[in-house]
Amino acid sequence: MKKRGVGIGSMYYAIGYGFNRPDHAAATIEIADDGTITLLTGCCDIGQGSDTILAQIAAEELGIDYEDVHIISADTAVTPDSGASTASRQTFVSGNAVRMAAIDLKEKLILHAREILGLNQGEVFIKDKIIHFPESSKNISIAAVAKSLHDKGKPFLGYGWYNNTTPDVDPETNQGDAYASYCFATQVVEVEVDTDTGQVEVLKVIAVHDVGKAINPVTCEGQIEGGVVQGLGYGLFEEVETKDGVVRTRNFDEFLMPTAADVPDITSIIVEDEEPKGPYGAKGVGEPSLIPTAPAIVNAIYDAIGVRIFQLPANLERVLAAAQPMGKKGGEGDA
Amino acid sequence: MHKFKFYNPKSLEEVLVLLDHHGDRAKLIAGGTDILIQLRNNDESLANVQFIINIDAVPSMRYITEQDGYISIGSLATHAQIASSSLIKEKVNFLSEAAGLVGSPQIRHRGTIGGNIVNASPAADTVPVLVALDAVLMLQSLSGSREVSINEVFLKPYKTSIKSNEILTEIRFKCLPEGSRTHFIKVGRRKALAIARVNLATAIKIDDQGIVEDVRIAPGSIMPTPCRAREAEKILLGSVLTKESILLACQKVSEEMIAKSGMRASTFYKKPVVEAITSRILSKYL
Repeated sequence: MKKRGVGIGSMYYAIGYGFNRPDHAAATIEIADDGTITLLTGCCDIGQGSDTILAQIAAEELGIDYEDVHIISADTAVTPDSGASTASRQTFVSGNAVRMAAIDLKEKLILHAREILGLNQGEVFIKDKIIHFPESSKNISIAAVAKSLHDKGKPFLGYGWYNNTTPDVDPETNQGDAYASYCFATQVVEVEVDTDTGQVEVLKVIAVHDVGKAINPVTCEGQIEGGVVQGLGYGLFEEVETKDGVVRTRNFDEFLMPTAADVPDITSIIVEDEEPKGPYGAKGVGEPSLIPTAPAIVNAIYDAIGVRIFQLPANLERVLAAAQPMGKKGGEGDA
Repeated sequence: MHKFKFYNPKSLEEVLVLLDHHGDRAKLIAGGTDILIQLRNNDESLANVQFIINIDAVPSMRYITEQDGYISIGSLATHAQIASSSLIKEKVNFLSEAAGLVGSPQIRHRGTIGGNIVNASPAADTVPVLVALDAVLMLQSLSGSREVSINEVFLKPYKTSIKSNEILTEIRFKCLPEGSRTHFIKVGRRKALAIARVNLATAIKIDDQGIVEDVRIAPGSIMPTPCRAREAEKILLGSVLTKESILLACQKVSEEMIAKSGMRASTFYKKPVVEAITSRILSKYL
């Protein structure tokens, strides 16, 4: 018999290393004499799209086009240290470092623009690669200012360093503010359990994530969807068997991950509760995207068959044992 | 990795000469979806192999034809080819279903039905269907040709009675009686790239009076070598299908499994599941 059920999983997850562990990132930006920039960051894009959003942040802050940003990332020969792509931290930590480098460069551009135009004071804003001084109605292109910086030997570099290292908690009470920021998420999952074979099909996932601010909504959704699929594999398939301390699951023919055919319909809903310390209010989404999925799946299985699965993955044998009242209980493995 | 000499013959005659010369020091490769993995893993089944003979380029062994009530499939026909064949869909749809559930699109485009048989995995997806069809395998060597039933070719898991100088050229079976209905079901750990935990092929013809005129039940992945569940078939043959007879037939299938495989760590899972999927399929004919 096939039985359907719905389950919910919720989580909160801290951004960065926390607990006074060193957590910082640096970035530099060089502007060429045509107004395009080269951004150097140690942040390693392992597929999450950090190159894209860091280039967006630099372009946004400087008032230039995204296409005018050339990014060099994670090349230890030339890029400054930005720490690892772990702890869902790079948008927050490297994002802030890149933004600071862009602000540093922008201040130098504005200062030199004032020198060129003979304006010592007054309001200023940048729009579409032009520096505007509204009170005098004067303006000058970023490219012209950059060319002048190069011609006159003035600094054409911006530098940023962001420190996300937090104080440790109280060693006696374990109380304190261990992390700089937290993400929140809830996922709702619908499953169909085949009570005769133990097969679980995930039919639909609705994933709601507070990311602070989605710098790039499309790549943010991509991360949520990828995380859901990883969480589905964790909940239903992935298992490492050991014998006498030796790993017996040594290849992807036995360590199973979801295939495209196993991926359910996923609806991502982005919630933007801006984090004042984050770049443009952004927090992170990398790990939060996969955390609620497996709990939501086992809750949905419980809703469908009325039995709790306490050992992951909820594979054929464990689910069948749970679904059959006379069967063997409690997640026995199978050779 | 294992070192070997690689041959790329362009005709069946060339293959037969090479096989005759090198014997069990040679291994044939077609789609390579099993052999390449065995080579990478330094599989002991290839320990004596010094020559790999690629038969992928041998012409006219990829056909699917029908003549005089028999269907003949060249051993190099791919799973993708069989799954999409309109002849196979019309005459023996469960073979199309089984071929369509092998591995992944890439594997189905490379892998061949001949390879699926000679690899002799107990979990092969197309084999239960061919067992249900009582298929005959055409083997050829330099000294002549012979036929062997698929029910007799498997000696034990990953071991067949095909001699080292022989090549499987064709799979042939009689079309099912007019009006037969077929089903194939596969229980795997995921929807694609899954090795069957249990699979099952059935074909049943029920006459105008509701009497079972022909029945074939062939489970896979539950026995060291595949065979039809004859005791279960006997219960159903010649009478009207009922819930009670189906229940009894399902028990016979699992009894035959335990008789051939013994009690294993997987029995607690496979016994109820093979009974349940047999019941599920047979109930479709009620």
